[in-house]
Amino acid sequence: MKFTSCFEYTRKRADRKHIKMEWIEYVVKHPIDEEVQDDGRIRRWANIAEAENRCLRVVFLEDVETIHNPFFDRRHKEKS
Amino acid sequence: MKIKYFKDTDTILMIFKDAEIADTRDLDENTLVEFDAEGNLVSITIEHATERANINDFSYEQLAVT
Repeated sequence: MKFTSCFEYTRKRADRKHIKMEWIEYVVKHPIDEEVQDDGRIRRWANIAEAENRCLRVVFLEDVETIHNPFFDRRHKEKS
Repeated sequence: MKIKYFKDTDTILMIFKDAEIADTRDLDENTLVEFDAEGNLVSITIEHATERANINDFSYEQLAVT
């Protein structure tokens, strides 16, 4: 996987540090949902059992391999 | 307050306080707003910043109370 500079910077934050790489990879490979943004970036979501089944959102750039901004999206869980 | 600009994605990150983020919300498809556990604003992420925020004309001014 490749990562944006924004990802690398925010990864140091307390709320992002605990997001494991294997969780991001899991969302990439086993999404329960996917949306393509107007700018071509892609959002994928998956529930992470190890994180109390919370829904992790991962955003890719248009190249479909560079990870930009993963975070736990509590609203996606509510929508589903 | 800190403002970070990431050129590779044209992203601005505005950090208002040093607090752990408890909630991240979409203001629109290209704007994320983040809050701490007490609901206080922690940060805003703006994508496609050069189109949306005119970052080349950034300035800061502290005005005196008259």
